Amino acid sequence: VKAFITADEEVLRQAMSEHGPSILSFISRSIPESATAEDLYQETWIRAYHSRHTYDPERPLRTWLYSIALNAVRTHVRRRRRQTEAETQSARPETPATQRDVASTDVRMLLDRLPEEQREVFLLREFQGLSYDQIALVTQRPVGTLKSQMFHAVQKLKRIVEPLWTAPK
Amino acid sequence: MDCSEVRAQLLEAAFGLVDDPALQSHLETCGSCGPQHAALVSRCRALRSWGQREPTPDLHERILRRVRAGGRRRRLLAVAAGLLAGIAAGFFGARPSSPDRIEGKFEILQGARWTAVDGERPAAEGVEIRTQGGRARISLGGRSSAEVQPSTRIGIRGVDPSIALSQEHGEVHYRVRPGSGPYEVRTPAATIQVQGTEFMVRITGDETMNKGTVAATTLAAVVGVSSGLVTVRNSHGEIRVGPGQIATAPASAPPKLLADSEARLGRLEAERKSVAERVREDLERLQELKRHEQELDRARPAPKKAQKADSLRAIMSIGLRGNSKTAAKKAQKMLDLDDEQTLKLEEVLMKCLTDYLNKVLAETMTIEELERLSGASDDLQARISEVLTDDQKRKLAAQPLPLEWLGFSMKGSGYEDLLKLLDEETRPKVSKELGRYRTGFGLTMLRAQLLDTAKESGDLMDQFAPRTLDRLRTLVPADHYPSFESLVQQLQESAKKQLERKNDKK
Repeated sequence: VKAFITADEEVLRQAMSEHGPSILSFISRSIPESATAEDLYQETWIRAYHSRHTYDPERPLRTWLYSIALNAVRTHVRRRRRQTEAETQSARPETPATQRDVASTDVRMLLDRLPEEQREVFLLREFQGLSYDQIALVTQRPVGTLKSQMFHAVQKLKRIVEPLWTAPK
Repeated sequence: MDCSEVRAQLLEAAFGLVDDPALQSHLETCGSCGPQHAALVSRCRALRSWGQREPTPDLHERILRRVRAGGRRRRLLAVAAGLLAGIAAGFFGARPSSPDRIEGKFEILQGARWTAVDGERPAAEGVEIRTQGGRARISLGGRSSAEVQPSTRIGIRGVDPSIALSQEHGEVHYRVRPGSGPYEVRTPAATIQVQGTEFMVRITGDETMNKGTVAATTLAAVVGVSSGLVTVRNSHGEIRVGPGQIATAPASAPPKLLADSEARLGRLEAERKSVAERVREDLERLQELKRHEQELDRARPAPKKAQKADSLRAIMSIGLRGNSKTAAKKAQKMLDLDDEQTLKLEEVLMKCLTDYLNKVLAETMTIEELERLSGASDDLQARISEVLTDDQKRKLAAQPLPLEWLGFSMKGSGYEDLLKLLDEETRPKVSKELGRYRTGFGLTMLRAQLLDTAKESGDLMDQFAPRTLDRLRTLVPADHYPSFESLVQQLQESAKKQLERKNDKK
């Protein structure tokens, strides 16, 4: 018993070492609160561990982990949305005024302008570097739909960033 | 492509969404757009580094501690359930004998959308399903199964270490293995807790009924127990429900046992069995009907194919009419026919070609037969003779009509150029051969279209063209060969393109 538990742990450790950075980056990019991102990261691995018998070995492990992380993010976002709707929030979270964070806030503001599904595709494609086929496995949406969502996301971002980025110097 | 068109797509290009060679070529050569694009690409790359994070070793240690803590709780259960062998095969690579899964015909909630499933999906915490007309079965780790009846919504709230399900509405029959750990069904009206039993939960009255006057029914959970013991609890109280008993738990009152629950349970069970029996019978009948339908389909000619054949016949008959008319006019000059005879000959040729066409369409004529008929066929010559006078017949006997006139047009394919290259003696022979080739090829493609397979078209082409070319080579003197081969190649390519175009149009 001890041996198999140790073996499991070792495999889990290896998987975390290999896929951890990209999964944590994805969660961090999806939600603004740093501490919550870590909580969701932990939750992703615990869920992966507990439902390991549902993993199809013919599917890439990476996309399976992404789909668990995406579900954790979606659940959190929905919960947060309900809370926000229920409470009358007086102020937005404070953001430190370092140069790096100002830039981060800009990107986050851009992403926040996108509808949830477009934001997911944009993040997975542009930031996580997944192919459309891989994103289809993660989101369970057809590739055609994903391409269309990506196109609309870029069109939306274009209206915001193009005047800044392409302005003559 | 000018600069304004390119600039309108610069950002899409930077995100790799545009795959236009013209745009790429413009970006490579334009001194204004190229640098702008490069700058955008570099900004996009910089954007990609935003939000990158490395997990700390401490974070991974915390995860492993949580896994160990959970592992201790589950260890005995895992051993008892015989999962060891399955899990030892590998953390991410093996499946135990009873995986958590949902199977049947249901809809699963993905994001904010319901997606129809007819098959199997993993059952995990957070999964939410509903049934419309179909049924589903949720199996959780071999510990329990839940038969989800039509028009039901249910979600998995917990799997490990205790199972928790939330039944929003509808009816579900649960079976829980004794001693398999806490099991809970949450409903809007009450929570049902079990320790190994078989029971069903039906949620009633969650909608407003209209029967002449508007009346709202009371929301309640109805719990029937087949074996074992369950506790039904809501904010007003709790009761224990044993085998053969039925309890109702209205949202606004304590749960209570129905006095005649045993009798009603019997009736419910009988009803359930009878419904199951009816469903089974209906399914068998449906399969029977499907079998009949397939047999009928096989017996009946495919309407699409028949329609297609009709429309091709119509198109071809226009072409055949043109060919017949041209051939008849040429025959008029050669045999000195009057107008009436020319018209009659046109009809004879038209009928003859239509017969050949129909034979090819019905696949009762081989390519070889077709070639024989469309060239110097006795049959065709005999039919033509019927409209001729004796003098004209003698003329025809001395010089048969070059019936390649009836062939299909190969305009622009190099045919005319090829003929020009040949000497007086060779030209009529090649012309005749190519006439056969054209006719045969046209009808071959037609047949391939009918068969509706591009592969078949290619096969026929491969089979038909080389044979014709081999014969042509025997007719053409060796000193013509270099030019002849190149023209033949041109002919082949042109014919292949024509074939591809036809297949593309399809």
